[in-house]
Amino acid sequence: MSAPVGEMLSEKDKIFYFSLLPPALTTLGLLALIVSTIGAKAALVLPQALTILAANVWDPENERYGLLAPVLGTLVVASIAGAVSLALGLPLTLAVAELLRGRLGSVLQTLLEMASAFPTVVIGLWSARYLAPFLSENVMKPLYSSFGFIPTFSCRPLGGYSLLTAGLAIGFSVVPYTASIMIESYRLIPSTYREACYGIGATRYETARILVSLARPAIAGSVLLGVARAMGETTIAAMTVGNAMNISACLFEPSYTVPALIAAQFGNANLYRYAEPVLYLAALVVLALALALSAVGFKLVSGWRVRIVG
Amino acid sequence: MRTIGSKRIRLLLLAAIAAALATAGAVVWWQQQQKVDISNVVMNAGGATFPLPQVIAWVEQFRKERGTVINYKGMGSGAGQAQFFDGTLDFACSDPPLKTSDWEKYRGKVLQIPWLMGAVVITYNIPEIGNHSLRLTPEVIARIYKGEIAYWDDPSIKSLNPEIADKLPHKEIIAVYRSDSSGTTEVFTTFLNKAAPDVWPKQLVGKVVDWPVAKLGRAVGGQGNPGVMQAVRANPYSIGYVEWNYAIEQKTPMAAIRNAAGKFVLPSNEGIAAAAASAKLPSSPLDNFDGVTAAVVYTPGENAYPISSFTFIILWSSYEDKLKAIALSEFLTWVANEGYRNVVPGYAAPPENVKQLLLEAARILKGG
Amino acid sequence: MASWAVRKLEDRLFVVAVVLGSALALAPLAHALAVTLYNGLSTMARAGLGFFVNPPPTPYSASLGGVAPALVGSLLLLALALPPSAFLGLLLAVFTNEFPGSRAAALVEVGARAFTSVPTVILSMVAYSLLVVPTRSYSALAGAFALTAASLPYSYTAFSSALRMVPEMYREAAYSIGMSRWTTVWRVLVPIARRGIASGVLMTLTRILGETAALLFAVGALRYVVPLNPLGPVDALPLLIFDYALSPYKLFHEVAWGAAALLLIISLALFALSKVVVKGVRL
Repeated sequence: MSAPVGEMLSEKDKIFYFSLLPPALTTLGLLALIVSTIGAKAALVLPQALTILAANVWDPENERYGLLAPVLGTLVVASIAGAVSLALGLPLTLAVAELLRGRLGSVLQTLLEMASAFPTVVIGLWSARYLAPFLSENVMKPLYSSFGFIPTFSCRPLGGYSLLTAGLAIGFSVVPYTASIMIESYRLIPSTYREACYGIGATRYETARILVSLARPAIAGSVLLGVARAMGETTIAAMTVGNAMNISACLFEPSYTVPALIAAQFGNANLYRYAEPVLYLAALVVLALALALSAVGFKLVSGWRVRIVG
Repeated sequence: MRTIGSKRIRLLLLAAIAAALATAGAVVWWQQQQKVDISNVVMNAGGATFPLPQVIAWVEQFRKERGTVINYKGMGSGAGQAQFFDGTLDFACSDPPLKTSDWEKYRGKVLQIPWLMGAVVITYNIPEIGNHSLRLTPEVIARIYKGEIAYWDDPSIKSLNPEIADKLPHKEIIAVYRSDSSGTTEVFTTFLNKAAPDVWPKQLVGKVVDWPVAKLGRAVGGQGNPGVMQAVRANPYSIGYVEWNYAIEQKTPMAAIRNAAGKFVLPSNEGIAAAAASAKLPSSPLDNFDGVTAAVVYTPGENAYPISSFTFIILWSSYEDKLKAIALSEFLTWVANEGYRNVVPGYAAPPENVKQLLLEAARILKGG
Repeated sequence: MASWAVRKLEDRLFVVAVVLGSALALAPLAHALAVTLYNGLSTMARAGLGFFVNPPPTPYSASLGGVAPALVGSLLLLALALPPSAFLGLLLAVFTNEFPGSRAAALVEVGARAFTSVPTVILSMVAYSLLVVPTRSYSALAGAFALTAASLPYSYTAFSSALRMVPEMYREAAYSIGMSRWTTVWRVLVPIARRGIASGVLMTLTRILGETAALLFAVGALRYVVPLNPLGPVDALPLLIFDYALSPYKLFHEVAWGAAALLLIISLALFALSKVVVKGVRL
């Protein structure tokens, strides 16, 4: 770590510091501007925020709004995406950082980096055309006919546009991000642990189990970061979620997420008095949730990294 | 007083005056005929997807002839109106005209012309019956979108279509609607309310509607007419409402709807014209056109198609950018004289008096 | 302790599970890649070179047209958004790397992380309210504003880790010969980190090109004319894909796939470039 400020700074260094302050402040100012703009625009409906969040209606002509469906939808989709990124990110991490640590591992890691450069709109296009019909035919219909008594599967799929499709598609798009944080963290585990495990004759599986349990906070943190990312995903959601103000236990029905709602309704929002503030309120809710989750996620990951190395 | 010379001089004077007048007249006429160079004008427009294919065709043709670029973005009537008043669009297209309250705010500054007619058709995707035209009544359609009729083999649908009743499958109806603020939705829901008021109440009329069937999980929202059309094509057993052109282009089946006279009619130019006959249009583009939408749906005519509609162009009566005003004026004139001669399938030229409204608007734009 | 045979079996199953899991993780994206390239390249082949210079088709066009306006628009947005994003990102990375104990640096770290959690569609809403409405015009500038805000946290993170990887000894060596902090940074540290920085620039580029939600309400989609005016509306490849994918016209779908393939190829090319181009300094 470089020398801390204040102690050994020469005059020149002080000038350097203050010359870099404007860009830093500009950036922070930008962030503050964004958050305050959203807050200011939502101010009109803030007093009724709780009522709006609890209702399920979208009727701008009569100025009646309810954000329950999109907010719930966002939470469900982000949770599914998080589950996907955990279930798939962990094998990837183990493959890259534990099993294939040589050439093949770095090839896999390069593939992962490549995957994170994938534009989400293309994933959205692929999800709408291929994933949705595939899921509808091969996953939802069988689940409905065999396990229809379980509330989650209790509705007939309609073409595949649903919270499940959106959640899976966003999950696939977020896996590279989550996995990269997991891999970076896993690599920080001092090799002494691994050597100790192999030294007493543990198999790869048992070693991996021990190391993964060591890395639990970091893994949890990365998943939370992935969930925060999933909450804000717009294009994939807009193309797969079905755009319906619908709340249901069944995951196969069309519903809404907040970003998809904004994408569909913002363009015409200022024709009505309260539509725009309500959309800003929705944005504020998602922003707050995403910030909170990513703060917790980051804390978990960086706190663990400090502990594991020290 | 001595008269000014002889008869010859008087005649000469008369001729001189006549020549001067003629020359002046010729100069003025020549100036009027001079086409102003509007080839570098770029205008931003947007709004309804109902007329989108026709507007794009007109805009493209006008660009080839005069060079003006009009960038029309289909975003829904609501967004079009909103962004027009925001100032980000030069003109907007909207299926319903401005509400009286909005018109009042901009009275004298805003022009509206019902420059095109079309029809909202009910299209569907039922593999078992292919392209067969179902007969549907307004009550049945309303009950489908209310969620009360859930399956395609519901008795009320079967009884209207005895000849294929046994082919109708026991599958849930997926209702497709517009997720954005849509003039097409307003036309469709105005029709449902006018034709079946007991089933479809006034609260469910508008550009964005709280669809009861959506809450039952049997509905999907599509963005724009294109989005609805795409959703119907992609989802078997779905039903949707789109402008006629979209169903023609995608070759999807259309329902024959029972009109006020009791006849089941498919969309047709005659059907639209018959509906238009019932509309009393104001005489100036500066006037309030609220109410025209309701006047033209579910009209009493024998052959009227019950979901016919005007679609409007909304513009300012004057623009700061004079060249833009001239370009827009030329465009309106062109539509009145040339555009109506090449109307894309699925649309109909409006009645004669609309041409006068267009020309009047063109005149107002030029400062006349 | 279970028998060796059981443990061996568990180990084998473990390997299988990891392989399957990894395959499942990458398979969807691999399929998406394959499908996009297949559909898109066949569109591009049919449209020929015209795909890069013609405007898109209308629903009634006879030919496939092209994506020239969207392509030029994307490049224009890139030219307007990349410099501020990269520049600010670099300055911020230098700042937090040089003065890591200061309160301002801590704030910047937190701020940059917070920025990554902002859903990009919100940036578009803000750009609409702050730039589009007052100027009464959609513009490439409003889009660039939103794109800069969207890509800044990523450029900062990339540059920051590139700088952090430079071993301390270079800094100490520079100080020991009397270099000031300023000179050390710009003459020693940044050049040593140039590979990471170059790769950071290329990744930022990729992110800017592929970002859709930030542009939704900011740029206005000037679809049929190649844009020349940064103060006016522009189209962008991701926007075109988004719009055309949701339409019912087969022609539009084909153009959407073509544009998607183009975007993908550019992204992957940039990625490959970032791995290869700048010769790293042997540390």
